[in-house]
Amino acid sequence: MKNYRGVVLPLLLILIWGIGSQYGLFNSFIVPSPLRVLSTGWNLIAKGILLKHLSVSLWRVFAGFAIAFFLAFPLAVMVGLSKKIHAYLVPSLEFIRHIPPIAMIPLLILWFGIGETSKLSVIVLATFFPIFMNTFSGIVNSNVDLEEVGVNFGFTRAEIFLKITLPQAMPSVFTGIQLGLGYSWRALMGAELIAASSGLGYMIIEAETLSRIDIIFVGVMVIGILGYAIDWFFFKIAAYFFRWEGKSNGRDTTPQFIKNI
Amino acid sequence: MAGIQLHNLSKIFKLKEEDVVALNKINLNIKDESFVTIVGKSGCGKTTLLRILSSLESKSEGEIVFTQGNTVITSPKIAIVFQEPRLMPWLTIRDNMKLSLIKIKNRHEVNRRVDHYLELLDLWRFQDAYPNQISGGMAQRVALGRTLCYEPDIILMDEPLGALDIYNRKILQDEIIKIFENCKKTIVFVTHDVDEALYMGQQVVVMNNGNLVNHMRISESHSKDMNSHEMKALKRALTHSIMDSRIIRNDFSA
Repeated sequence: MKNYRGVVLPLLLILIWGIGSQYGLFNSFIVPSPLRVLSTGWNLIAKGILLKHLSVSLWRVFAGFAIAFFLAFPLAVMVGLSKKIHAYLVPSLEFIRHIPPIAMIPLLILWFGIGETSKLSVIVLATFFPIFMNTFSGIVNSNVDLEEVGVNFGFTRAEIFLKITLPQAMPSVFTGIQLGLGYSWRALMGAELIAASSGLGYMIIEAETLSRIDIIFVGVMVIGILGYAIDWFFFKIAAYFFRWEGKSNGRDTTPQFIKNI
Repeated sequence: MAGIQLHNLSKIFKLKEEDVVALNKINLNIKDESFVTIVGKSGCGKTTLLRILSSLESKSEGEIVFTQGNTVITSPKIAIVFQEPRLMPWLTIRDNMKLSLIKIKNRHEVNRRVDHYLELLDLWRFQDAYPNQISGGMAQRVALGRTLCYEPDIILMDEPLGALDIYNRKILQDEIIKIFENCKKTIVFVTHDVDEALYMGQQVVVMNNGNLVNHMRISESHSKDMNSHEMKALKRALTHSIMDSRIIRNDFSA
């Protein structure tokens, strides 16, 4: 039963929404009926429009994410392992970390134009820090006691890193990836709303200029559902790979609502 | 197999500009294939001594010489069993035991050793479990198995049974003795428990404030009657030297 509690509220809202629309309680120009949203959604799918915008957005997220990962991960490992580099880099990184990627969009557009580069840069900016910070803290908080076991058995420094430090940091790295994906998704929507000629954000802003409120609803819902799906997918992967993380380790970053699914 | 000779071994820690002497010019001779227990209060320097022997800590002064028969050897294989099991939580019991065999490329040999010690320590059924699924006693058994797989010349044990309940403790004490009798390695076993020190060691060394204060030869054999008058007398003498910090006799190399 517990598993179904989460759907009560959405169903209730849809019900109120449906009844309200049916009896003309809401202005249909501002709030379209659920059935209209559903049929518009179906239309967008049938014509391939939704899939086109969706695949553009998804491609941007994964490409930007991949670039951010290949920058942030090695850098975090290097900084985590070397106290000297750490002292040089951290103040600058702390400064950049506090600037929301969306605030950088005007600058990025002026620098890179409204093409793909500016969108990818927004995603890289949004994703870099969660991956960097979590990987860094995973490496720095590595248990010295466990590393001593490696020293004791004559491990080289590389072996200690690969066999002990890195596996220990993996749950933390994974949390960074999960957070980073969420952030990149949000930042991308911002970028696509401001300047784009394709993507989910563009579909929404174009619908606004055409006063197609139903398309906006479809876009917003797809964003929510997709974000949820990506998170769920990652949660399942994490649950499989980090099944050794028992209660005794006391680390659990999964939001309660995901556990109830 | 290797013996250990300590000549004027000292360790000084710097603590807020102040020197803290953890080991004070210690001389000790641990024979090849012998079982020596080191007993003392917390903070007496026994863990520091083991950490220096296993190269986890550097010495401040003095010399450590390893011997094999009458010849001096440079780097014997030394492994330490820590007070906590220190198992890798992401590896199964079997993979934890394999970890010490990273240098051995022959997979057949790796599996042979792991199988052997899984069997010997009665861990076979749990080989696919993760450390968070087993009890503390079992985890310490795995830590012991991991060290045995490595097949070191010298095994250092830093109160490995300290966190166990009395029943598991007794069982593991006997298992360690059995292992010693079968494979004849040099074992240096640190404990704060006088009974354990007497029961397990062929020789008992008492430490106090970084000094060696007493050294007793107990018995070559491990079949001891802990209730005999002789053992009770030894226990009294040991307890006395642990408590009394005035006695200092740092040279037991003879």
